[in-house]
Amino acid sequence: MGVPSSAGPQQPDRGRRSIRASFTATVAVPVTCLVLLWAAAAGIMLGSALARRGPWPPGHHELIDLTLLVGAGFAVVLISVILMGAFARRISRDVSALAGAAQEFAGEQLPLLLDQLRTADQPGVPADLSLPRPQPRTAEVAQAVGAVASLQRTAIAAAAGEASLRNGLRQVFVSLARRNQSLLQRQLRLIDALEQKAPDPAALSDLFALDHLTTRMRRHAESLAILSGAAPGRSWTEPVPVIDVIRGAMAEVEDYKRVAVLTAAEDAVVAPAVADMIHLLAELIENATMFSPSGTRVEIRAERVANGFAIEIDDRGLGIEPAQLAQLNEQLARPPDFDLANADRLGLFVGAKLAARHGVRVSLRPSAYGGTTAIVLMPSAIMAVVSRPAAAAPPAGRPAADRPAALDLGPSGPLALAGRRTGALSPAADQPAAPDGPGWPARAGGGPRRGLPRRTRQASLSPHLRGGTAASRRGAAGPPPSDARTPEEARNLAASMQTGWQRGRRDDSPAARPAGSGRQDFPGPDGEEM
Amino acid sequence: MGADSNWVGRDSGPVVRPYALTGGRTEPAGGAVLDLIAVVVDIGRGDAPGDRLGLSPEHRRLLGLCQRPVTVADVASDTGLPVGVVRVLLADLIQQSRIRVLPQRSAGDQPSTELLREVLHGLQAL
Repeated sequence: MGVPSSAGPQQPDRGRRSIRASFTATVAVPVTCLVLLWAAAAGIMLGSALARRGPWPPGHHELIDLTLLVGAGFAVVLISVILMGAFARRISRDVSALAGAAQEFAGEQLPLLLDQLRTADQPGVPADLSLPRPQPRTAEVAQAVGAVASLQRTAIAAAAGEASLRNGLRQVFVSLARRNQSLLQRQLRLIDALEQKAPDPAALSDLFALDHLTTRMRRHAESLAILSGAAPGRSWTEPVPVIDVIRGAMAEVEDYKRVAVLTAAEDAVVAPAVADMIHLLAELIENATMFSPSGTRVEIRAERVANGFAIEIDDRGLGIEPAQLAQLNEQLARPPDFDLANADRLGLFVGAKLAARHGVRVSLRPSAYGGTTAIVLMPSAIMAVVSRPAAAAPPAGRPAADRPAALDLGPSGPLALAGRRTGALSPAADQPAAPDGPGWPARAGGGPRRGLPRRTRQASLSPHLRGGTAASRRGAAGPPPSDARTPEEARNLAASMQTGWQRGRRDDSPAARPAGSGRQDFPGPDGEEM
Repeated sequence: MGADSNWVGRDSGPVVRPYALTGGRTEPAGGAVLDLIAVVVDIGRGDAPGDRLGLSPEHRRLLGLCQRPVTVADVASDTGLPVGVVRVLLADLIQQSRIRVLPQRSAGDQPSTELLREVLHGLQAL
């Protein structure tokens, strides 16, 4: 992809001089002139001295001239050294400016740019890229600056290319993971149906094995989706009890039979965090089972604490060395960037990323049994307190009607469905048996169908027929409880039935039928014929 | 990327897979497979002080459904769990002496025809 040229116009070349030209202009010519001048002065002086008499012995006048000449010679040497020093300083300033710019690019700007590209949604070089562009005054150094600039552009293009490649790879992974997940979800639904129909324990056991395998495959497909930055795929709309979250995570682990969940906590995890928490706990439980002998138990405890909710996973393995433990804790606290390269400890990396997403703290400690304890501290922000009605525990004699509120947690399939159905059935069965007298009171709407119009029993019924309770009790309940009718009611019912029969027999007799009418009129409310 | 949740709520399936509810067991504890029309009822033992962790939520739910005598098939259909799983869980509860199976009424316990005839006479005399 195209890389915009660095900001800043190119300095016109006429401002630059090559090193040779610069040296000639600033050092060679002045020094040569000075040396020539000095040589001329020396020649004049020697010539005048030789013209007067021989060179030896030098007289007083000649000595002074000689001294002046030598001094002038030193001065020339000094001036030429200064000129050369100035020249060297200018060159070195240019070169060190170039070196500084290159260093700054390699050390600071390129890593920053790589981070930007790696985390940006759209891979591409940011358009407002500005690179330091030193302006040397020497032509060769300017060429070097140009070469370094083109190196920078190449490096940026390579980084952008790598980022787009990684992005493309990520899309491929997500797409594959989703396809896998979709097929596995369908397979699990099929297995659910087969489990419902399983004829005997042996068949159910085989189905359980299949279910377990498929659930593990689904978990790995989810891992791939999470590693590629996508959402896990499953989600819930209502809080899910934390004990279900823990058991759901346990079910996704190979050695789930060795895991014991020892908690009676009634808290729930809010819906947005459920999928991530299940995955995180599954990774930790899998680690615990993998690094402990196959005969030992892995125990999970969970409890509300002052800072939120804590889940502890204890294994009885050999433990982890302190140095590695410290490193793991560091990685859990600050998960490094994943760049598809570090493949060992993958599970822990995924778990750390998920934990960071919700502010959950995960740490490892040596356990009292010599193994390792993983502690997951979930903040109160992702916990929901469930309010259960006071009589929700199943003591003796209490019908199941009081459990609907607790069972409404989480649309976890048949369990929630069962809760609602049980709640729907029992208020009717719970109805008080005795009526309040002949005027049958309108029943206040109760149970889950609050709000819809309720039929008031016997409100539209003729007063003559009112008071019988058996026929009107057929409502939403099943067969009425056998002890619901008092003897008075039974007598009233029987009496009204008999009255009806007698009237019908009487009206049906040939004497009562009016001549010519073929149809028996139904008696009006007061018993008279219409 | 983006907020894609392909399987929301019930589409995700149950949070806890059925095999995790019984710990992988399919054979009921005690060996006897409960008949579908066997009637079970809660004994009403309640929770002893050390018992908080003994029962899973499904055990408690089944216990709640057994407050009145109810058949195994009814309980299974109320919870929506597979019958095999319900059998295992109920067998656990039976083993812990929290519920019991009511003996079935045999055919010989029907009211006699004499009794029925007496009732009929009595009704006609009303």
